Amino acid sequence: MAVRRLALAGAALLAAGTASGQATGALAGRVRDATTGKIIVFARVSVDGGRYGALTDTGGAYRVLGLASGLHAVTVALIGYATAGRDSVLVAAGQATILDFALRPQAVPLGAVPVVTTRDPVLDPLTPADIQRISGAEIRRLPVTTVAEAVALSAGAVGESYRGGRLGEQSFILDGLGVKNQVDASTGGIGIRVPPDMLTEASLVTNGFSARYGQAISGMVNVVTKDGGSRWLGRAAYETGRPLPGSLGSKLDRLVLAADGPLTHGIAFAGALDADARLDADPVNAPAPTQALDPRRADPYHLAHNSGERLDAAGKLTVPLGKSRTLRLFGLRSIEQRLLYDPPYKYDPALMPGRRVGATLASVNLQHAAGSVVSEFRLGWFDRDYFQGALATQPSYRLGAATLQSFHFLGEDLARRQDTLAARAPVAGFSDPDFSAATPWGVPAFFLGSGPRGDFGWNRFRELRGRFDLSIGAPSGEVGMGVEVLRQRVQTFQRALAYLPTTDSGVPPPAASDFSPTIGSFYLEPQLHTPEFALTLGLRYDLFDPGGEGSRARAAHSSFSPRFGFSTVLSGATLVISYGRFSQAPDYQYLVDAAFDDTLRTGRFRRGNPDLGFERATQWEFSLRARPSRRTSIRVNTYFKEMDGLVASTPVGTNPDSAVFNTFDFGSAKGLELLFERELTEGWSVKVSYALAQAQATNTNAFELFRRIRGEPPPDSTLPSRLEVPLDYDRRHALTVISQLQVPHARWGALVGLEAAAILRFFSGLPYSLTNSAGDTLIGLPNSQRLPPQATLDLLLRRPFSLAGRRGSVYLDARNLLNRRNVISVRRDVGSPQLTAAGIDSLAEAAYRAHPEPIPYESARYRSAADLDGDGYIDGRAELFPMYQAAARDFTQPLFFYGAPRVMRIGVEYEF
Amino acid sequence: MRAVALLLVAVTACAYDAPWTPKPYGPDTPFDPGSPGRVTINVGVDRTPAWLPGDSALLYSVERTGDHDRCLGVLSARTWTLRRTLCHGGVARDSIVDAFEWPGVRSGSLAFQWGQWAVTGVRPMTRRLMVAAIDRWDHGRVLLEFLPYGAGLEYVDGVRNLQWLSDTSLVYVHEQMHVYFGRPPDPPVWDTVFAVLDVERIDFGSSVPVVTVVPGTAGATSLAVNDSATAIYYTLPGDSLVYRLPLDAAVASIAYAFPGGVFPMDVQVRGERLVAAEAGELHLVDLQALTDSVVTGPGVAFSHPALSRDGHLIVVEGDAGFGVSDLWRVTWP
Repeated sequence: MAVRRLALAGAALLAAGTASGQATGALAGRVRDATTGKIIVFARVSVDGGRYGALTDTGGAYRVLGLASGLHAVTVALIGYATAGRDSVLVAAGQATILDFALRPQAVPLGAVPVVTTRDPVLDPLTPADIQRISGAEIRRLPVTTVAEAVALSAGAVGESYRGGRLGEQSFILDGLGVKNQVDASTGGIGIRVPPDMLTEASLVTNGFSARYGQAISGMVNVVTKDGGSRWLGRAAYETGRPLPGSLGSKLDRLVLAADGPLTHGIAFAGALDADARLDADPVNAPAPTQALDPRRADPYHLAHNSGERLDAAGKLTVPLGKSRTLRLFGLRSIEQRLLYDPPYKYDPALMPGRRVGATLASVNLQHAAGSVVSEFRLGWFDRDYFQGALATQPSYRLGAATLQSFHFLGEDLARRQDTLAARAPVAGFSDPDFSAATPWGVPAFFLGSGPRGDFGWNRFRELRGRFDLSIGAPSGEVGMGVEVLRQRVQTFQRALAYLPTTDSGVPPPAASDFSPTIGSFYLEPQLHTPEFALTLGLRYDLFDPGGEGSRARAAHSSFSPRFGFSTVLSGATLVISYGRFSQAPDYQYLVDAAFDDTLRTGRFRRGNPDLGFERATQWEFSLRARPSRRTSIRVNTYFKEMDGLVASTPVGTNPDSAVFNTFDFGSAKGLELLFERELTEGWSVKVSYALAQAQATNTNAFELFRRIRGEPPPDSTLPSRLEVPLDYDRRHALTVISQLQVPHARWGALVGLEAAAILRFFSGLPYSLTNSAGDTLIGLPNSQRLPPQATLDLLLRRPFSLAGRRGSVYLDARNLLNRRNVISVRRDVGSPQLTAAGIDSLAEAAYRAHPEPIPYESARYRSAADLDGDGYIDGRAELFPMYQAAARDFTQPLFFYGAPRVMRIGVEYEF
Repeated sequence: MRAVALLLVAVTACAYDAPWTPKPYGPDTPFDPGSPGRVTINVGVDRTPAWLPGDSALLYSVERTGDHDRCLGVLSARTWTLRRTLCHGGVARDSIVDAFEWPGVRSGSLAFQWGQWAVTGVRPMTRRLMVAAIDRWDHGRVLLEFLPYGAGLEYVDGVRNLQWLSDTSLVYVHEQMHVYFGRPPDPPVWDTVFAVLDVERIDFGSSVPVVTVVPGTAGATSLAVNDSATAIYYTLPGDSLVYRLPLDAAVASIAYAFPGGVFPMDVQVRGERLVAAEAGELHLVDLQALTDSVVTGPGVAFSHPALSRDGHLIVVEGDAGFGVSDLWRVTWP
């Protein structure tokens, strides 16, 4: 049966020959009699009210081609049988969706209609892209929580870096409409999170993506949300670590509510709410401290002032407008608040900073089908608001770690008003930080108190995006074209050392910007197909105008990006060759001035460059896909990518801490990806992916100063080097194994129904740079060192149950089950997480020399254990230096140098 | 089903342990629990104590040994340890020595004198009378600023004995600081002499503060305000009397008369209790019984006592003769 279905899919696609690239897909399947199982010929299959259609052939098979990617309504009718249908059938771009029907004879009124939906992403000869998909249902079966975590399971992904690229080089496509945090995508997240329960599927495309899409040079994350169904369904789930003993349990409370169903007049609704609050938003797996007085010793994983809460709420209305039009309204609101643990404030946590990111997305999608022409109009509004700084008041927990209140920050009003004049004075609420007197060691060293760090930053990014796509089908191909226009507004504000007036030397002035960029694009993508091959050509034109007025006017930039894809079938395998040139506007944070603070109070200043143009990449890829057996598939991808115009920093004048951005950087990425998959049948499945990659450029990231690179020959400390060094996310080897097991009902006794899913990851280490002890001079080339390899094992165990006729389950989700202590970062001066004993003594010595003064009894710094002679003073080296040593040992704990520890949660879900 | 029930029971029965939090690590008892007992042993100068409302703590001027700044220290009256210091900038931040002195506190508001010296200088560059909200003490308002004057800029005025009358008015002793290099017949060294001008009242409810001289207080050596802030007490040089002047009256009365030859310098009054320093000793006077108990410091000279609101505790400067005073505690049952 499976072989026939596979053949059917392949035949459908080959016969269709849409060479659809990314814009369209196909629908194919077989129609049977529900009572006899016999095939039904000449049944009428209609898509979207008759816009597309086909008759079943003598084998009961049908094929409908050239369908735009997205959701479609499908009906099957034949005299003598009850009409069957399915409202929301996902047709993925460049793939065939298999949809079988079983019709009941007319004598049985409107009986149940079993529908089987599956897809074959492997032997699709017409897809030039590397697409790795994961469905919403699959996310729930795996030990992952978010869409981002799920996408990160893809080969070539390192978190949100793809194929070694920098963060922010990807594009996020939600229901066909792009969304991007254009302000600081390279250092901040997009700000919105689609609740997995709203998801139909998410996929990562790493090359050959259609000319429809731009604003990305390393990959595209494509998310398709679900429409409301024809009857009401819902799910409620709650996860927590409360019942788990000791440090095993994640200090998390997560609530998920989701429902979808029909409203009225054919309007359907789908909505989901996903909220969590965690006391240990960033637990650390660093070794427990050895010093008895260290308060962290009792609970080494969990840090004070390190909680977080998130709320993601989404809703979607699907409104049919006659037979040929469908209107979709989508809204998403995400809020994330974090208390941030700041190690120097370990003993004064009330002074630690916080962060709040709120984002709203609203979109309208109107689809119209007429004859062989499909047009889609989309309009999107995106608003992202970010603030990080010292909290005006510490929030109090109300439910678990949920504060249920919005954070407020010192200087927030000033920042939102962008009042750079008033911000020149010390900002209300800030006071000079000084050495903490609240430490167990007492001595004035390392740890800070008295006042918070003096820096805060705010930015707001708003975007109105409209696009129109037109797809015209033809017997031997299809032409897609479209235009997109984005009008944006960027507002930023930063203040450093806010407890000092900017008239003090070394205090950078407040930096603010307010400008309205415009981005436009146009694409044309003809597709040609024959029974032997498929050819996709694409040309994309991008325009980027940062905006500005008068002397601050910024130059507009444009870019042409050709795309090309060729695919054919050779000896049962699909070979794809693709070429693409990609461009993206730089992060707007590189266009504007910024002020930084550091612990040495030097006050750094970074000058924006309003004339930055596109960052570009050109990629060649060869892909081979095959099915060794009916259950298994293999994919091999190899690619080579050249990048140029990448943003980099160059120094300004003689100030070692100030820089200006330029697009001097260039580099290359190449790699090989192997993917093996055994589908979930007979109760088990396995998916193995291995990626071998090398990504290099002349600068490791946009913030690394060129002049710190000592290229050979000749050594030069002032001019940019032309030497390529590994990029920050240049992970050479990555192996991921995802396996699922379902205990069949017929055997295993008490284990019947148990489901297990495991994710095993093994990664080689990322690169890092070694510096001198002061951290201001590189030793050797940038990123010439490597971290040790990492490995994790995550596990999800699920036990279904039935309650009041509805399904539910109880599950245990364990991350890093083996509690492996993975090194994810090191001290750049020693190349290990922990400073050496000599290094600690050196720090202590310097601190002691700076403050050898005695500590009297009444001082908050007095510690009786240190007063060896009991005279009321801690004085002299014999009494003071050991305290400085202890403080140095405490301060140099490698808290964030290790990956997450083992954390577990249990959950219960109920479907209704 | 049982699993669900168990889970719900377990969840409701469990609460998260808060992550670790810092503990108080310093001492919680005074170094010397006796009376008189020394409560600060700082190697720098500790002076001008003033009680906070509620008698839970004191503010005083504490010298930071790292950079010789004089900060305002908040000394707990329970543990007798410094809870907090209010300093202008961190240690070694600048080349200016900042001196906060003569704090006075009234329900959420703080007044103090802020003097600034160049690190290499011997004369203050400026002295200011500041008022601020306690929780925003570093964003205060300058009510008065005194700059050097005189032919050689050797004079700088200042304030002392700051006392609150209302939310928008203070009284203080206006002093003159004279810093000079001795010429024959004086020894050729730098010397500082303070001279008292008078008691003044400053009202700062409007944008421009208004200063008025309290008549009859020329040369006053000390100043105190009664509990209801309706009258002031003051002393005069070479005079054994303590005067009481209602603020709405023009003529002062005698609050207490010390024996001849006893010239009180610093008075504090709470209810019927008066404390004064004289020749390094403390005089504890019951104004009702008209009794005077003398407390002598063990090898130290007392000055500038601060009497708690309840009248049972005195914190006073004690100087062993080296010009570096500490704070002492004297109980008055």
